Amino acid sequence: MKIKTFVGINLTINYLQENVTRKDTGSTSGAYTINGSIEIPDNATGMLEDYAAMDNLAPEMQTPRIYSETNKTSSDLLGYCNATDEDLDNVSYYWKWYVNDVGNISGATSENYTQGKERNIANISSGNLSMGDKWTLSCLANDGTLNSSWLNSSLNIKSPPTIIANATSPAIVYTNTDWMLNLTVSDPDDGDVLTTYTQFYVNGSASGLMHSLNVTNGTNTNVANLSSTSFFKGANLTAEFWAGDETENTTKYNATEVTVSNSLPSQVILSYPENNDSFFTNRTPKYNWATSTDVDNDALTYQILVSLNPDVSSPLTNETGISNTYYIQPSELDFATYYWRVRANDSDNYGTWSDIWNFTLVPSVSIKLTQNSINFGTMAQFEVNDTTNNQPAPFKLENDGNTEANVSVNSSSLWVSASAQLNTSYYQFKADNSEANSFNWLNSQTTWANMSDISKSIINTLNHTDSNDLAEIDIRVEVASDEPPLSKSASLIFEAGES
Amino acid sequence: MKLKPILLIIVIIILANQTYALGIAPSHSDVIFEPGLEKTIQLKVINNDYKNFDAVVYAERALAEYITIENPTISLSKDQDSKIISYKLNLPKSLEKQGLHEASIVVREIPKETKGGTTITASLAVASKLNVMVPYNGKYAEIKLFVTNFKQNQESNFAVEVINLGTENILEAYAIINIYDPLNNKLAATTSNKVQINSKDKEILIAKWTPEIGLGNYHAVATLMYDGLNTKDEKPFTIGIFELDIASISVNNFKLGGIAKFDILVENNWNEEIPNVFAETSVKDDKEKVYTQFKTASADIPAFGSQELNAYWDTAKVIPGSYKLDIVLNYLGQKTEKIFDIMVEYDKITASLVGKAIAVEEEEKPAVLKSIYILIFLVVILVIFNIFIYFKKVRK
Repeated sequence: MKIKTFVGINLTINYLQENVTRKDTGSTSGAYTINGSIEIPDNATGMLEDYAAMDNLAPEMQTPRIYSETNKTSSDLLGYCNATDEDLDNVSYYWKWYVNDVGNISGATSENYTQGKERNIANISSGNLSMGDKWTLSCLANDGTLNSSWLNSSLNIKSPPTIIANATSPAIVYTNTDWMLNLTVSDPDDGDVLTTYTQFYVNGSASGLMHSLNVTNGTNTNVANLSSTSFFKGANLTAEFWAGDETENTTKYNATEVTVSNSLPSQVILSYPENNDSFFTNRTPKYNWATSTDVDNDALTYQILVSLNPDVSSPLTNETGISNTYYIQPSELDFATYYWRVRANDSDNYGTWSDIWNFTLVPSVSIKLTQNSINFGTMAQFEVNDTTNNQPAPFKLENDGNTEANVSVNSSSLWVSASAQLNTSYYQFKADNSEANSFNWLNSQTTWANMSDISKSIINTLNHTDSNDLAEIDIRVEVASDEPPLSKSASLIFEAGES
Repeated sequence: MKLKPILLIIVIIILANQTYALGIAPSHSDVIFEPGLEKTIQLKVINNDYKNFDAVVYAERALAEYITIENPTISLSKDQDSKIISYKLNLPKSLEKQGLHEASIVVREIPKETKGGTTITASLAVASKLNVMVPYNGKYAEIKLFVTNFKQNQESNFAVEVINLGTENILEAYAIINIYDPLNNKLAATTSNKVQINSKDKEILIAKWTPEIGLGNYHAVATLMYDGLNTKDEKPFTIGIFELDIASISVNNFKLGGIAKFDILVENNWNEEIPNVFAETSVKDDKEKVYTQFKTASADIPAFGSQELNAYWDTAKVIPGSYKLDIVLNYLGQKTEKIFDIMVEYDKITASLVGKAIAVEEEEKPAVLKSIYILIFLVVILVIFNIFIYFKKVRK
């Protein structure tokens, strides 16, 4: 409390409180109530002089309080000041609002308030607020004589989080890969717990439950995956996503819709004819390869190219739509080196070409005898026998090769008799049909010819096609009159070469 | 007496497997002469029947003196399907004549012992030719035409392999391919790309062609034009797949209980007449019960023409309903099968195609597998035979 000495002014003081000392009497004891008033006429002159007859303490400012219902731009800021005064003086307040540390508005209360009671002294309407602004309320109290110090309190206007980046991957979605969503959430408010929310849709229908994941502010994060088991080829995928900071969510966004692409069939692995086979002899090869795989489980067909060129350009065979894992060359290939490759098709597209393999188709002569000996049994002098009646059976020669063959024959001597040596009618041969048109009849030895130890042509152009590749070789033997009665044998050789 | 057929089977099987085979690949090798050329050439001796045998290898004919056989005797065992042998060629500095010079490399089986009586035992020999071509003075080319299985209205390629066997380079070579029908009428022509071919080099010419003619057998004649000279090669080829088609089936004037006459219209889309075509038909119900089987008369179907084959079905005990008509066309060793759904009503039979089935090819089996199968079969027969003998003895 203060006591004023007024000079030339009528003064009435009312003592309101205990423990005060009356200046005029010096009395310090007893309870006093001082009721006084100061009348200061308009024309008053002189000095208003303070002196502390009693200690008047300055009010003590309590930390102001800023209240916002939401801490966001949608709510007004209510500024509260509160000061205590030991002297129990009523206080008035001076206040200042700062935005981002720059003065914005200030004022003072027009009335005094009871000390120690928080008073709403100045508000900022929501319209003046911007996200992220720092509002500071500074208050000073006055007890009529003394001021408190200024004291501040600040409040940040909260920002909702923002999704600053979103990306789905992979760019081309196949049925064997999950579809992933990455988000980057930014929030200027320190300490907020940021959460992302994702709902995937397959062909417009929600797929599974909503995914939520806490993320780090400003960090690109894989927030949710749509499992490849959830979709199929041709499905349209999209993701709805948003983020929140516990108090406010972003708006919901949709990721760019993607259509699940067709997965290409796997690369074909060739198996036959073996690569670099330089002795390949099958003129109608059965090309084989391993089954291609397709993650979409599409039905696969194959395309084969067979060419004379190492890069398989200008193919001689270009067959598509093969449903098996093999292809049989429909007509005989000519002798050459062939290059071939295969790829699978899933009806949408082709997979990767297989490696290029090659084989060299070479002519081969291969001759087969169905029996290797003819036994005429014991023969008497002058006896004649031959194989034309199949008793005994003639030799049968089959061309097992892949090209036409000529066959010649020679033999060691059969008889001991000097008159029945080789190159005589005692031991003869001829060719005969076993299958029609198996060999060139006119240029073959189809009548009896004398056997020799020098090779003689017997069959010309023996076919190699299975239906007519067989010929008979008849043998005729005659026992000379002077042939001794012993076992006789001859070794005969059929030699085959390319026609 | 009952034993005879079994023994006969056994003998037949044993005899059937008594084959002797020998092969060689390649059956010729081509070399363009270069003075002093040294080259090792490999050959594959083929033991198709998986037999044990020994053989001698030797060279003969004009160039034999320039050939060294690395292993003059070889042995193959029943486990080996083939054996690679090689010979060295050391050509002289010159060969007098231009053109072809030859040698033969012969692989000759060493014969086994002969049997008693008057016996002639055969053994086999196979020869691989060595063709050494001394380039001709000037320009000279040889060609080989490669054809493919063309498809109607689908572009494909003829290929012409050209070898410059002259001493001079060929500045420009291209091939004209003329296409002829079986009556030798020229139907189309196509021309290849043009190339330059150095002496002793080989080039592949490609002539694209899209067949816009009917399916069938044709032949192509390739004429190589090179620096004012030409040479030819020709090959037969086909367009499409040779297959007769059943165009339609109809039954006219039908009354249930009477004889149904199926008119089977067979279409020949091939460019040649198909002789002796007949159909085997059978009518079945869903439970595969056969109601009738019929073989039609044979007919010749003209090129690009059609012909009706008639099959008959006595419907005296047939009740109205749906049946399956299986038709197998037989022609030139081929078969085409089609199955029709037929609906038998009181006054009509209607048919619609169910599907198409073509005889499935038998998978190729290696010779060794065939031998194993034969052996297994033989063992089974012998076991049965022994059991039979055993029971016969027990009974006695």
